[in-house]
Amino acid sequence: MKSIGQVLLWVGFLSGSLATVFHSSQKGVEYVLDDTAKLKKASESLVVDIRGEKYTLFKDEASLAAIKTQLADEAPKGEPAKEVTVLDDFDQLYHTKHHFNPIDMSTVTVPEEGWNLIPWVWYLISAATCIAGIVVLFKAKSTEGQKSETSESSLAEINTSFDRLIGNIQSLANDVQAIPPSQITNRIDDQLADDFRIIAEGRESITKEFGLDIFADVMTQFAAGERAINRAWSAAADGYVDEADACINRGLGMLRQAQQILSEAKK
Amino acid sequence: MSSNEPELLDGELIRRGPYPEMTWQAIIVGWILGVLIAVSISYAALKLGFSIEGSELAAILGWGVLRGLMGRTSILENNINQTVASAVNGASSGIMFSVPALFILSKKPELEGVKDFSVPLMLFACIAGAFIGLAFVIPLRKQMIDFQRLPYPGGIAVATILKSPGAGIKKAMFMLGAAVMSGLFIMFVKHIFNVEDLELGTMLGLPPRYGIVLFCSLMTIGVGFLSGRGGFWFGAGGFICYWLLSPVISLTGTPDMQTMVEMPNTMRKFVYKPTGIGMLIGAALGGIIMAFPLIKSAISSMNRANKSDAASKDEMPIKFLATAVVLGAGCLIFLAYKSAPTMSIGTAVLMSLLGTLWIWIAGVIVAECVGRTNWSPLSGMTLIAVTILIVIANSMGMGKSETIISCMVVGAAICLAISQASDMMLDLKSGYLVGGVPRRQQMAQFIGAWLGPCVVIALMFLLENGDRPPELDKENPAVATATADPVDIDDKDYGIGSKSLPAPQASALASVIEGIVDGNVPDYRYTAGGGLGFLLAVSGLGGIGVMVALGFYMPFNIVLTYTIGCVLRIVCNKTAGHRWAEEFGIPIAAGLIIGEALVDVGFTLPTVAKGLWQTMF
Repeated sequence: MKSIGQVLLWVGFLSGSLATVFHSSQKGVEYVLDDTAKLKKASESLVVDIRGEKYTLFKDEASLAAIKTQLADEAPKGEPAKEVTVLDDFDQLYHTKHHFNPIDMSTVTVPEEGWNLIPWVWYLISAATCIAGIVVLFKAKSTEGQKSETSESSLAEINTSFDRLIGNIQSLANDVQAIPPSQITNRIDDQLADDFRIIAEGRESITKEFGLDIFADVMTQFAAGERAINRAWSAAADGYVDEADACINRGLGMLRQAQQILSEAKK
Repeated sequence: MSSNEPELLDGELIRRGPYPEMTWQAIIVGWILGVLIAVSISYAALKLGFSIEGSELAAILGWGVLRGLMGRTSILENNINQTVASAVNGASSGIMFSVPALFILSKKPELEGVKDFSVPLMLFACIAGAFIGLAFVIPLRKQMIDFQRLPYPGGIAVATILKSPGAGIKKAMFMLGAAVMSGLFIMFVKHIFNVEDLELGTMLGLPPRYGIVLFCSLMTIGVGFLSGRGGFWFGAGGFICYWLLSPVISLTGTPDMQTMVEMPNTMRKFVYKPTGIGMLIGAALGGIIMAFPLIKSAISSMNRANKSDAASKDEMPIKFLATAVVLGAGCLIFLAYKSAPTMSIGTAVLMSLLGTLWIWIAGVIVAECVGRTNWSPLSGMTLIAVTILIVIANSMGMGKSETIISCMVVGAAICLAISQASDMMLDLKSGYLVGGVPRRQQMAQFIGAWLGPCVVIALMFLLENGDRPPELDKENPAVATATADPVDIDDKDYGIGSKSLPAPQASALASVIEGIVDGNVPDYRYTAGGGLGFLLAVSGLGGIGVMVALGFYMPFNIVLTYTIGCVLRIVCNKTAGHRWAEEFGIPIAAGLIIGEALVDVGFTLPTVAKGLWQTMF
């Protein structure tokens, strides 16, 4: 059921994406502007020939503004500017019969009929397929139930890691004042890093088993504990053993609290 | 003997007493380095059109200054230094992507008035925006870093640098070796041979529609490596565009679209990028809805913990942040109202409230994108902000110049806010990894955030007016280009937007603003993309909506190269194991990032120095 949901979701998404990008207001037409503003078909880039000089242009919205501005500037005082018109033959490409100089224009315009570019029926059917996929996915989740074997095994792994982590930190806390700082950093790297990673990677199973509130409580303590151990590493690397000692003990307390919240949630 | 005097234990130095973190030395060095980095990167943004993340640079320089020159001995102190410095530098991308557009637009005869914006208003808008952005994003730290554990590749790289004094010689050598390799690579390939991309598809005889072009940047591979499996969906977004949609269009599309898919850059500019922007917004809104129960649980958990232990006292108080948002929004209303003579109070309130709302949404989007991939859709988010504001101002019947000025005042505030939000989260991640106290870092960010706009706006005016021809001064000292006979854009050879300072990002924004003012916005593509992004985000499959959207938005050469890094991490985890990947893979990846960033900045320094020298003397 979950697979069906995923297939529906992705088919809908990909189809909707295709609908969104299938048409563009870009048109492969070459402008050759002269006194009569002739338009002729071409491939992609625009070569504009004005007064014997060629300018290569490409198309976007900004040029419409540029053309309008130029026409407005060149209009005699008190008279309206010449209009920019749309050529029916060329599917709403702008053109003007005005002989303009596009030196400060990098582009030639495209029309503003954008909303028609998206085939909305196709798009909405795709979105509906997506929604159907999402509904199936959520149903599959509730049918499978909150608890699963995967999350239970992951939780067991988390518990083992918590036990090992707390044991190793306790042992480090006992030795911290007696060992040189490099041994503190080495023991954090060698004995603690893997268990921190295992708990972090398995954290989703806490949500599945006990819900968001317990997850938030456990992760708040766990993250604060991990940060305290990270601080102990930094302090030890700089030789500040008292700070390292304090942080290791603080981290230990927080991790114990995280484990306790998890144990109480199981009951 | 003072308590900080080192002792020896088994031949190793140990120190007693408090561990330095938030010190005046860290803040002052952070301000100085931040100003230097902001000036360099801002100039590079105007000259070359790119921006560089300042955190890694600040961490390395801070290491040299604090440890090397000042004899300081704390990783966490350097972490505060880099937080302050990167907060100052946050203004370089935030302002240089937006405000120079006014100088560029002012060269159009009918828009020459847009250069008459009030500098103090713009400055205060930027500072207010920066503070609002920080106040909005700080409460999300717990959700994004503690719960979701977003990788923040840039944050990992910074933490690797910060920790290098204690990481052992082997790891340091790996990092250094990778940095040298990456630096030499970018120096020869990009700066000497002037090659940015490897046209692999063309070499293999494949059609251009597949966009098989590798971005010549080992940094990008390093970022992908640090993201690992989490970066998969970002890559997937790009592959969907260029390996699925483009080929389908080339087979079944209209003749003009069949032509267009063979031009991947044009296809991105007009089709995939706007779709991606829409998707990002839709996915962010969906993501906020989906994450709401978790955010609620996070806040409840903080409240519960607050009563029983010290864990949540590490966070800045929510009341303080809420006050900052309210005061910031109030400031924006005032600034928007004062930005144009015909601005009504109603329009100012509407623009500012929508702007503040957008800061929250865009801050979440950018923080999540940076967290998962290290890429920030800052320009896209600014574009949307400016679009919304211009639509409001236009509908209120304001004049063209006034519309643009008022929208850019609020727009610049939004741009700064988004930039600060992503930088804050990145720094908080590095802080997490070295054990920094979040509240202190958050304060450090506020301490640095106000300075950046002052420096960058001053630099911008220096560059704009420094080599202005004297005859323009005689006509109107206040307005550089407001001459009776407007200067043609091609005749101008000074200031921002000229050939020597083309400001490519701001130029792009300027042309888009012009289009928006004239009503040309691809809102149909934003809407369609937004719907799809929203559906992906609410599908319950994690944060894939934002990731796929970012894949649509970004150039495919970057996505493809980034994916190589992700694949390398997955292979590395499977073959050499997680431990090896974390112990040596991460320093190597961080080295790749550092090397390229340093060489890039190094190459801009002579240009910066020369440009500033010419401007001032």
